[in-house]
Amino acid sequence: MATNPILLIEDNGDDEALTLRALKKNNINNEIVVARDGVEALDYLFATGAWAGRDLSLMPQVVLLDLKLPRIDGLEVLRRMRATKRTHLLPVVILTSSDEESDRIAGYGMGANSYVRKPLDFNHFAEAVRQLGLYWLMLNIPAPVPRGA
Amino acid sequence: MVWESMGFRFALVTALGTALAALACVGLLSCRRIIREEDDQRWVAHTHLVLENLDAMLADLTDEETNQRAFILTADGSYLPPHEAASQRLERDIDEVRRLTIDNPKQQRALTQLDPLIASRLAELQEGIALRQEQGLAAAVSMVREGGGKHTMDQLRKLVAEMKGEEQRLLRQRLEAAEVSSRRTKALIVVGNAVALLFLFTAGLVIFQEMGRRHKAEEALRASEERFRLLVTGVKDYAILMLDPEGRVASWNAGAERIKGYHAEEILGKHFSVFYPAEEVERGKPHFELKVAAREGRIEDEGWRVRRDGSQFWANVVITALRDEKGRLRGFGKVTRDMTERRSAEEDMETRNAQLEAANEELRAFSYSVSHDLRAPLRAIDGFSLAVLEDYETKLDTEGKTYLQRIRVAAGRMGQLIDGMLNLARISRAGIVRERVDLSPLAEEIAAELQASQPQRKATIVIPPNLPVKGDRLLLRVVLENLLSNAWKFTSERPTTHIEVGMKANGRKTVHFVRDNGAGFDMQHADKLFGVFQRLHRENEFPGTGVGLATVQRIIHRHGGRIWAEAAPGEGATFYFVLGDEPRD
Repeated sequence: MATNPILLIEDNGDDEALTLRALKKNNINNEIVVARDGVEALDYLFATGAWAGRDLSLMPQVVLLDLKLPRIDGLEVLRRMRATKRTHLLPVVILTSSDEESDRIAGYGMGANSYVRKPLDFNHFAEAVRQLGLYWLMLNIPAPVPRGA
Repeated sequence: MVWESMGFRFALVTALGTALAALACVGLLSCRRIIREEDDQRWVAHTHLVLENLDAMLADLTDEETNQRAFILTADGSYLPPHEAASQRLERDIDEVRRLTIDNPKQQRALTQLDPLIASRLAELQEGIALRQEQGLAAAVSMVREGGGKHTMDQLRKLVAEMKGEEQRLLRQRLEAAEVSSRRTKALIVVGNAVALLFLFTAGLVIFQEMGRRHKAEEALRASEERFRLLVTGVKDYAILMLDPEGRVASWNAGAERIKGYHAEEILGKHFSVFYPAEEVERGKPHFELKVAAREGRIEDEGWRVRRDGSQFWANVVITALRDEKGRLRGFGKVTRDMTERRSAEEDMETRNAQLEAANEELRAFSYSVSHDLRAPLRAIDGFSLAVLEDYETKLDTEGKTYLQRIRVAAGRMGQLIDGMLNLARISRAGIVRERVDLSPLAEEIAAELQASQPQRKATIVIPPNLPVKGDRLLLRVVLENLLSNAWKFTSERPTTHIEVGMKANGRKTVHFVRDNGAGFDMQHADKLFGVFQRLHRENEFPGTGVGLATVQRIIHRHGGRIWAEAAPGEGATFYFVLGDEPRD
């Protein structure tokens, strides 16, 4: 039923592969767009740079955001998303290794919808991804995408 | 002081006043005595006068009688004085006596008897003369022989003798009274003089004492001034000096000489602005500070000051306005301390604090990095090991699968170690919020969680209802979590688990404890108990990271407290802890 893609913003190839494996294992068949740093992520979201001319009516159903990224870090990506009308209501799940208090406060403070620490054990990780998919792709009803923005 | 001087004045006035009064009494008495004495003299003279007059009267009568006899014998008319004159003379005598004894009725009465006797005697004498003239010598001699007139004369003499006796008795009486009065007066004069002397002596004593007291007070004041002078001049750590109202140096002490480098004689009278750097003088700072001190009573300043040799030092300066009791500005007191060393120590401290802050910042960045970057490869190791196990299951033999499993277990364990280290680091820098916390409900919650994690285990966990402490609620929960899970873990092989939480008084402090009947340990190794990654049991006996007790100790230390354990192998262990009054870093 879900046709919108999932935007995975992740610079670590291992984590990317494992996340994709976990999604596949849980039969989540949405298109997965992978951005490997903050610049790529923003290019996709705002149809700029390598993604110039992209159909902007197709926005991700959910954004899985790592915090530690080259060039532009995760919190800055989040800040710019929330500052832009087209993206300011998109669901963003921070998916990170860190459970530092400061990151949690900053993440929620910038308008993250959820914060999940990647479990170390892959079985637990796969379970977390399953629940995330269930919730954000099936259960959660997103805000309508603003038109003509 | 005022009271004492009042007392002195009162005593002096009283003593001198009493002495003066006594002397005045003595004077008065003496005066009266003299007057009385004169009076007595007068009485004596008076008495003699009375006696003389009485004698004169008798003598006059006798003269008359003698004259009459001579006339009778000789019939010579020259013996006959005029009768008038004799009686007038006698009358004058009588009158004199009457006047002198006017206050004495007894004498007056005697006088009234005397008058007719004199008159009758004079008449008898006249009668004899007349007889000689008319009847001749024989008739007159026979009349005398018959004793004519002798009787009257005897009566007269007797009366006069009585009057004289009376007069002498009176004199004696008066002299006796005068004697008594004189003796009393003399006694009073002696007593009065003695009293005056006594009080004069007292006054002298009071003056002497007061002089002694004043002398002592002056001595004490002088000594205190001397001490004060020695104190001020002798103090070497502070420059203590006085400025006149215009700011010229008026006094100088050893500290001033040491700190500023001037000798007293080269600085006295100079303006104190020489102590300030030239640019401060240009900006008018010395005058400004005096103005503020005069207006507000005092000014404190820290800044650079100049020594005699031109070198500068960092000074703490207090200038105090000195006013007399009428509020007139008499000058300023100035106390200067050389703070150069302290300032450099403070600067060192600031530098060290900045370095420490930087180190802490680095540590934070480090643990952040650890938390992110160390875990990612572990996830990959675990994840891909599992991927191999799942995707290549058919191509792996049992041994290969076991190895991959081992890799996964090791990765998981390393993850736990990393988490434990991060926790410990987090606790070390977390702020402590002190509040009243009851450990009892916290322990109950944790005990319930433990029991729920292994419901099949038989366990009694004793927790008394009221365990109040003062500390950080979250951190104390971590302490109890670690101690209770340890107790739970190390009693897992007992048929029944006994865990007891409690408190007991130890002097002024309250000691809390967690006791179990578990595996215990050898006290020989107790020193390793609280070290990071130190374990007293093998991993396959009781799993663990070796960070838990280190974390507990860190929390207790951050509360200013202490933790220790008592145990024996196979006989369980007891962990005691005391929380301090003040948090510590």
